[in-house]
Amino acid sequence: MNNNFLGFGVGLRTDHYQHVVDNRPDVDWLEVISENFMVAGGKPKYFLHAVRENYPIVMHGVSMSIAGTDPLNMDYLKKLKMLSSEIQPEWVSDHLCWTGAEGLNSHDLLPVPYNNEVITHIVDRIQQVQEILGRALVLENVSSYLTYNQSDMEEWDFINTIAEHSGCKILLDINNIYVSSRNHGFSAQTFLHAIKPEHIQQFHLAGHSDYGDYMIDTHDHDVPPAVWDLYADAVKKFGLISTLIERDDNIPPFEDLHAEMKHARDIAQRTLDLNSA
Amino acid sequence: MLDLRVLQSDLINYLVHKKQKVDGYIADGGSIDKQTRLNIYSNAYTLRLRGVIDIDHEILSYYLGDELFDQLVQGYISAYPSNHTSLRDFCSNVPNYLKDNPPFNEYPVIEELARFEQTLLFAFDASDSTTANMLDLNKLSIEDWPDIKIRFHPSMQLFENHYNCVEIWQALKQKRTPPEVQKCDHSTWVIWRNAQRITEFRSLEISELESIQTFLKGGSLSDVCEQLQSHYPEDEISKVAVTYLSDWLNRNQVSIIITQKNSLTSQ
Repeated sequence: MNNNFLGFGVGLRTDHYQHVVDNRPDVDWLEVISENFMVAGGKPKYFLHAVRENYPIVMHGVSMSIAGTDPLNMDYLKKLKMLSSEIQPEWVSDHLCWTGAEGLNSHDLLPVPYNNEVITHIVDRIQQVQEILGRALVLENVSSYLTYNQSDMEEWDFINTIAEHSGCKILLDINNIYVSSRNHGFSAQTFLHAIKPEHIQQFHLAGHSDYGDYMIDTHDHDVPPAVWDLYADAVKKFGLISTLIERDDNIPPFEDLHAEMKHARDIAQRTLDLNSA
Repeated sequence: MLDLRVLQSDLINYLVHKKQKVDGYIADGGSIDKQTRLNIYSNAYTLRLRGVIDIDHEILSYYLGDELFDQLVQGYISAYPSNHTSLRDFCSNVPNYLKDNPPFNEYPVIEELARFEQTLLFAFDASDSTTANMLDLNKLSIEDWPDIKIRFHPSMQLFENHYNCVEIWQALKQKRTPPEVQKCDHSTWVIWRNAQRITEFRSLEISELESIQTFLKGGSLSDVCEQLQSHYPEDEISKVAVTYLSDWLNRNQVSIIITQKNSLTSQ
């Protein structure tokens, strides 16, 4: 079960466009933020096409609002499909969340209640999107800072059921599991081990900010030891899964992210060696 | 599905308008209380949108200073909550907000500065297009020249100002002290993206502005020459018109040269 294993990659950010084009660093693949390239032309598109010549690309979006109750944004989906046709990514991902309602946009990745009614709603929307895009959607578990009284199941059961019923794949963000586990007091191991391997398409690794009583998924720090440990557990459970270092703020030189990517590769290799010993 | 719709409606109105009561939705438990949990989302909403205004209006934020910039952020987020899918469009009403609201509307140069930054942004990621060059022009027989029409590159924009906002922008961009605000009679700048995809701008003499406007309205080179008669002696008109045309071509401002027989582009 390799789910089209791409290897180890880095999220491509504006600060690194020129570096990646000029130096062609030794990364297996790159993930781009879809919305950054939904523009008519100019430098962003130029760089995207330049990196696409040398690397497999995954498109990762933040605006689909797959769990929203406003109608699906057909204009957005049309642009997403056009970009996908243009770039031919390995897959297209977004987040298992909602971002706005009544035409207002929070530009945040907001959680939903975990219950069957919501599952039915989301599955229906995923199927519509998959029909439009002509491919399976990959959805990421989000970090959350609240849960709802309207939930009657655990997040991991909610995710598994959605994947089973919709045919979508899961981008398992290891850092998000850790952050949510600390914010809600559940075991990250329980979450990890409950997710069914057949749904997993990709891992994300990132850092966060620790405020003692709670954590925020800021993506502005190196991947911390606790997340590396959870990643090793994930590799032990799921095997080789395409893994990506994600950084969105306090962006360091590309070499630093590259070093983290190599560290992920070392952990995966070491874990698998131990598993097979 | 009504429950989820109501929940999302209440929560988005809480985040955007800070009025809705939503703590009844939030489960108890964990090491932090409900209000802290809601505040995390509420603070993130403001910080995220502030960050977008800061990035899109970097020079404006320097010019205003922290206190006024905070006032702009709070006022703008409240007056124009995002109804855009992409954050790329969130700041589109910043110039309007500055024009309509005190204390900003007491200093019209601020609105001009914001509008200038938005025009630069538009040029940055406007559509790509073919570009024509001097070789294309030279391919034409001389009898075709009077009928020449041109289509400018999609990134090309005209920016009108009544204050020295561009000089202020340039000084702040170079981390110099900006000049005092000065009213200018009326000036126009042309902004475009060059062959290296770098945004450039330069000021226009009235005769060059009118020549561009004539082409933008679908006029021909002979129309431009006729219009130039009000600025130049008869024997200089052809030379001036060709100079403009070659400048635009060399600067990557022209997509297509159109004649009655054909359209010419290089790439």
